[in-house]
Amino acid sequence: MSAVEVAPVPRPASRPLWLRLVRNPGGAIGLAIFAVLIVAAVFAPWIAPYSPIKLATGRPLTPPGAAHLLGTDELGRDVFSRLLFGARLTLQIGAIAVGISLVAGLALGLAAAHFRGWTERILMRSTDVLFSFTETLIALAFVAVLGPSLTNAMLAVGVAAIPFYARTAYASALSETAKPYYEGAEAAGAGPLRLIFRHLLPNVMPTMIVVATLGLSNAILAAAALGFLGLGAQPPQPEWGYMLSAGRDFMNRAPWLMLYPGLAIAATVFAFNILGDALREALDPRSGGR
Amino acid sequence: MAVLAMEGLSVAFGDDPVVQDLDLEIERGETLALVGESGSGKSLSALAVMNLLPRRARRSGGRVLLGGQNISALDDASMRRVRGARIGMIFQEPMTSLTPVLTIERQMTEALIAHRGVSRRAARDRAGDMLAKAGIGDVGRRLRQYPHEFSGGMRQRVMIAMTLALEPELLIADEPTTALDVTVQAQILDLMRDLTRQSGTSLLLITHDMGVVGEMADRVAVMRRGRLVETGPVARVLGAPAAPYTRQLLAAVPRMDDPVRTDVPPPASPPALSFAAVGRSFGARGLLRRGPPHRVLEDITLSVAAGETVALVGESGSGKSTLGRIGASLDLDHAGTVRVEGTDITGLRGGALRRARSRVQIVFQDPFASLDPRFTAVQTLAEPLALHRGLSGKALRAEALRLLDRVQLPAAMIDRLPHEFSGGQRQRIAISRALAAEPRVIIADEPTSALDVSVQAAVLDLLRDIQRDTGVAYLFITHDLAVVRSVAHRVAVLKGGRIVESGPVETVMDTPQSDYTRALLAAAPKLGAVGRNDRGDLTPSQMETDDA
Repeated sequence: MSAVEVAPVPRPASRPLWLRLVRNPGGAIGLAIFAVLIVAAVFAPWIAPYSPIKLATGRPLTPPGAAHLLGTDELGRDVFSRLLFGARLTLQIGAIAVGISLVAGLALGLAAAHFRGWTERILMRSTDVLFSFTETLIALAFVAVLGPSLTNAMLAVGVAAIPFYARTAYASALSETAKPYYEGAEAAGAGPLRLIFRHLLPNVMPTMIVVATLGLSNAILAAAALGFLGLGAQPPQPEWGYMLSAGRDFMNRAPWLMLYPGLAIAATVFAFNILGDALREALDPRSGGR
Repeated sequence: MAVLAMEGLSVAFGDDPVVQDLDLEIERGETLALVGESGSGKSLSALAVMNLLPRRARRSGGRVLLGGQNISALDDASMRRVRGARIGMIFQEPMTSLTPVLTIERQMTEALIAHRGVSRRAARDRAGDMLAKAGIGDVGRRLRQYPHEFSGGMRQRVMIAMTLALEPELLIADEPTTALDVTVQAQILDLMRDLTRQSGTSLLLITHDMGVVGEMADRVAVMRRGRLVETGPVARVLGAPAAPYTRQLLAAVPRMDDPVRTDVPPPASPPALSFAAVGRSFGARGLLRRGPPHRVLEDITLSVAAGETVALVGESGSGKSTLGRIGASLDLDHAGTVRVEGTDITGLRGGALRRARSRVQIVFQDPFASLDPRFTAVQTLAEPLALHRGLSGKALRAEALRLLDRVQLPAAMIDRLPHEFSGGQRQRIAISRALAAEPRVIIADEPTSALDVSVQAAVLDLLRDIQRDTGVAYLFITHDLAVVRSVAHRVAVLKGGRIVESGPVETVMDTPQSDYTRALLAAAPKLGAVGRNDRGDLTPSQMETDDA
């Protein structure tokens, strides 16, 4: 009988993650937009017909046309070039802000889930307090203290989202600590650091990758909002949110000044959202992707 | 005419056949037990009858006749009129098979109103009647309650009442008592037997438990890997099985009349593991509220000698797993003293605690959750080998291979991840992880409860072999009295956090002193029970006249 039981189970062929992603329509579209964004950001100096900050590349407020694909703004700068360079800032903002909230959130959440007791109470109650303010308000307060600049905006957006990441990491880690393998590792002699980094972190990561992807779009929106309010990127930086805000004054005369940055933000946010959903499916072992 | 007939029924996952060519008939008033191990296709066959196959599966051939009518050809709307009204179904998990947000009354009357077109008042009366028949008292109040106000056994009673209220011709019960304690299981089985007999309902009982088959079934059908292996009257199949597989299956079932262990553990002092006056309570302690503590364990004094197996038996909530976790120093918040080979390990922290843990290892019940899903077998074993024994590099890998060999897993599997192993194989890895620390005591918390019986037999053999070779002591936590007989030297019966009886296995099982032990023993379903209910030799039609 044991001979039957010990017979090797055929190793299920596991498809690589990116293949599973591409096969999902949402994943494919999300990845495609993301790729366009990367290309735009990396090759902006070569693709862009004009400098993003050079004034009077054409007549101010030229409508979209042959010379200026997406028109020019009130100072005669080329909107298309500014959007391309803006992609750099946008990706940078997303990566740094999400990086801050992800690392800090994981540290808080995993520590609370592992140590429980007073550590858990203090950490989680403090995140609860932060939770009761909207993220934008926290970011605003942060920038108000540090002064308006793109760097501070990134920091502010990242810090404001920490409670959310901490809560998610905590919930996910807590369900892992309740599984017997965690106690099994503890019985096998694993100390706190090993338990947290070797057992908790890898098992919490799939959830957090999805959260971070969805969080990217939030971070970009929040940074754009700060830019719109004049608290983020400062002129003449071609940040999308700031472009949107500057274009507001000419909404009737030159609608393209708001239309294209708005579309760029919307497309990026949309891409990260569906990419996040696709990732969630691809990383879920029950989805049959194994 | 048969109430239900499956003719050449086949089910496939994609192109993968999982049920092949199943021919079965159930007569009116008859109980047919469909038995098999996991993956045998028994549940899928039942779902195919109901046309409720999971999305990835499809009926790839054959047909299902209900009272002569081909129901596998029905469209969704007509099928909905069959489900519930003509075929009732009861599932394994009583905790999740009732809707938590609706009262019992709403859930019970809804189907009656929809299928039978009766008034709300008539439906409520009928629901009340059925609950009373199902042994639920204070019906008026119970009807207005929500599922969470019922225990697991009570919920299963509600499910049965709800299903039978519609007077279906056929009741399909898929492992209806597997999630229940043995004393509750006995009551639920009695209830199902009484109610189906009264109403002449046929019962298709899906189970892996040969004891349940022996107590319930008129006929039995044995399935293996999607095919029917053997069918026949229960007395014949259990008494003189024709198919080799049935014989093998029956031989693997632990029985209440199995011989007890006769080997005597070497006399040893001090004991490998001992509990003195151990207690544990969980307080409802929050920042703002302090409720009275809930005592889970009280005044437990118990010892396990080297080379000895002590079984800890109890129903859910008896505190047996908590005691196991205290023994393994995973629960440190307890009263009393825990000693390992005479040394008091209570209150140790940090490095001393980790060293103490290496001497008492633990194996858990759920083979799917007890291994880190991202660790290969060798990584799992490397942890105790490196941390407790300071091995590394080649020496570590060699020792890991030796351990895999010890639990009879091929060396080629060393780099596999948990999901690439079967349940039994995973449990073997969990055992080898426990062995890696070279412990003096292994606490085995229901180590075979999630496994098929043939796999369970092999794992129990393995545990006995390891004990013979290493002299390790086992604290074997289980709810299954039949397993106790073949595994343990001594047994302690736990109820409500206290030991109600303990002693050598033979003494406790053959001459139980406490009422609770007697009740447990009486409730355990027995293979030899065929005919206990005087139905073994009766045909269903005779039975009906007997009941009338």
